[in-house]
Amino acid sequence: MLSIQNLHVEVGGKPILKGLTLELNAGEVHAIMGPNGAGKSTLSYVLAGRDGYEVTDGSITFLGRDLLAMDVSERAAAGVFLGFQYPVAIPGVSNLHFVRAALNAQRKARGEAELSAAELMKLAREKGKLVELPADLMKRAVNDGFSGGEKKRNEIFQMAMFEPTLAVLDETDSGLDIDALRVVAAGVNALRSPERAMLVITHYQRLLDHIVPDYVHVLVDGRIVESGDKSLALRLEDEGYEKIRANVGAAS
Amino acid sequence: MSLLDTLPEQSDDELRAQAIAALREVGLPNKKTEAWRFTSVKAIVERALPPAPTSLTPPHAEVVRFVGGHPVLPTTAHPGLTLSRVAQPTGFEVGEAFAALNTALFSDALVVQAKGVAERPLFVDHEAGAETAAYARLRVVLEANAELVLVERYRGRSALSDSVVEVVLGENAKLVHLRTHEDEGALVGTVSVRQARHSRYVSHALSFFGAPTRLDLRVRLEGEGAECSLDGIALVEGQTHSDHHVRVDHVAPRTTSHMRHRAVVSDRATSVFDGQAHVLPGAAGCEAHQHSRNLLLSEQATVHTKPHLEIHVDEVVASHGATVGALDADALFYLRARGISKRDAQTLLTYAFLQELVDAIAHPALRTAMRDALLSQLPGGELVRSLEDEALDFVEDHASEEEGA
Ligand SMILES: Nc1ncnc2c1ncn2[C@@H]1O[C@H](COP(=O)(O)OP(=O)(O)OP(=O)(O)O)[C@@H](O)[C@H]1O
Ligand SMILES: [Mg+2]
Repeated sequence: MLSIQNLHVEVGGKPILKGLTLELNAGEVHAIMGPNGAGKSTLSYVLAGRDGYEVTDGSITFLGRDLLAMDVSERAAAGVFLGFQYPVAIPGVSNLHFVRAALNAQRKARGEAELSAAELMKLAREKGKLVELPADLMKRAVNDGFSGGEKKRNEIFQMAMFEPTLAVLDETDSGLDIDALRVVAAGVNALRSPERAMLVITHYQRLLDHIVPDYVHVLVDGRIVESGDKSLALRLEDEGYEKIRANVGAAS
Repeated sequence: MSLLDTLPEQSDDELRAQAIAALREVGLPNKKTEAWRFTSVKAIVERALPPAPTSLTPPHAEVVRFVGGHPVLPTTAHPGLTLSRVAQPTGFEVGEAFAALNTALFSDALVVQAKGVAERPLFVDHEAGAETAAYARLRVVLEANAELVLVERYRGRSALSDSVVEVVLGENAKLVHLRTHEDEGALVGTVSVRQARHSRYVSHALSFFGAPTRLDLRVRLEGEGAECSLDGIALVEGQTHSDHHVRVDHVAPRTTSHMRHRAVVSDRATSVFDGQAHVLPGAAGCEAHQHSRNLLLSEQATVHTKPHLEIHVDEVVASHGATVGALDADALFYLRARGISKRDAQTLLTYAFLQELVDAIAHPALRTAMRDALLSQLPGGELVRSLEDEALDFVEDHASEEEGA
């Protein structure tokens, strides 16, 4: 479904991703772990199409299409969802109105009929329950004055509303208390399906207790340096990145 | 040739004679005039545009029309209001610069007297001509405790619309004054307000286009406890130019002024805002606020903003500030990453920037009209309108949840 080949990305002239290769098939959940500043968020932004991230080499193919040639909103319509590490507040724009505008823009771009207000509310009620997002948070301005945990819940709520084909979740677990972590993980798990792939960026094994990945990759200094199954995450929790760094250093 | 060449040699009327003398002496503003530093009127001033002739224009049932600056009274009476046309400007202000030109050259003025609380808003539509100058003159007098909503709309593509609105508010009177400058030609307008004790003046001025648009709004708070709230929005694009000069004089103690200006400037357009509050000696316990926020949507767009205060007494509550910035790149990306096109995302954020001043319009139908006027100027404005017009609410859900709890 998603094929990233030898991806090189610069930000402000500084190389961040340095030959990253990654393949995701439908139905798979991949976790990416790695030290601060390794380039995890950069990868997520490049997938979503943010300005200022210059791809100097390599390619990204999504469902057979050249993802890098697509505009940001076009990617969303094609089924790419990015759950932000730091969700943005939009004062003055109500959450539900925003979700409706976004969902209908995606549907329109795909040639599907737009949802009426009643249909949207039905869907919102259902999906809101999934992540236990209170009705008043849905009505408030997007993320405005939301706590860290509420923002993350809102991200998963939106993901549930949009039903993307590829979900990239950047540190969805950071800022969550233990109960919220369980709720958010349940929301993510409910969306696992044979047609959908997920790329879960995290620092902590505890999220992967709830969202059990099919593969775990370690991203260090702009490259995937090791891949394995869920046991790799446990090993990292034990050993930290030092050993991997040392191995990489020795190999190159 | 100059616009001053259209002045009569002399006038029998004392006020007009004063205006003519002052203009002959001082002339019209040029780029050396401090208050006109950023707004060039050369193109207008250097043409001897004749005042528009009166024409036979059919009256509207409810709306006051100014056609070429000449008032046409509506056929239906407005309960609580007396509308009259007067040719002699007795008791009017002479004014300066373009206001003085108006004093010298207007033909008939419209005088609105209000007693009690007017049930309906009074609409005044201005339509100016392409080859002539329109000198509309309006005087609005609210007696003690009277209340009125006045809606002025300037439309068309005029060679010059030079209007003067005088407002006199009696004790406890309240005027809400909406003004939209939709004229694509040159529009200079003066609004001069005098307020007695505990009166309130609420102004919402909205400018689009402008080649240029200039508003001089002056408020004198002459009676204790008088309050004014002056909101302005400028939405300019292309090569257009909007200039709002607002000045409040706190003459009496315990008077309050709030000034808020928001400009959205795209392409090569320019917005000027000069907001002054003067707290005069003896005016103790006043409150004065001026805030200007500016959104630049292009690299070539220009903003000149200057909120300032002059205080001659000790105890005053005052604040002023100005910000100039672009759309928030993080917010823009967030919206786009959720599937909203770049254009619509920009419009959503631009409208969110202005929304506070739209929401401040208390009258629901007028608020909607003002919003729609704004949105019609924003690319993709239909999106915001469709979002706002449909309430999204969990009606039944709410009730059942509360029962369950
Ligand atoms: N706009 C930018 N300008 C310059 N450098 C940047 C910019 N954005 C990111 N970087 C740099 O790119 C590197 C990778 O950043 P990125 O946010 O992708 O790391 P990360 O792996 O997500 O880290 P964390 O675990 O702390 O979230 C960092 O060194 C960061 O400072
Ligand atoms: Mg990160």
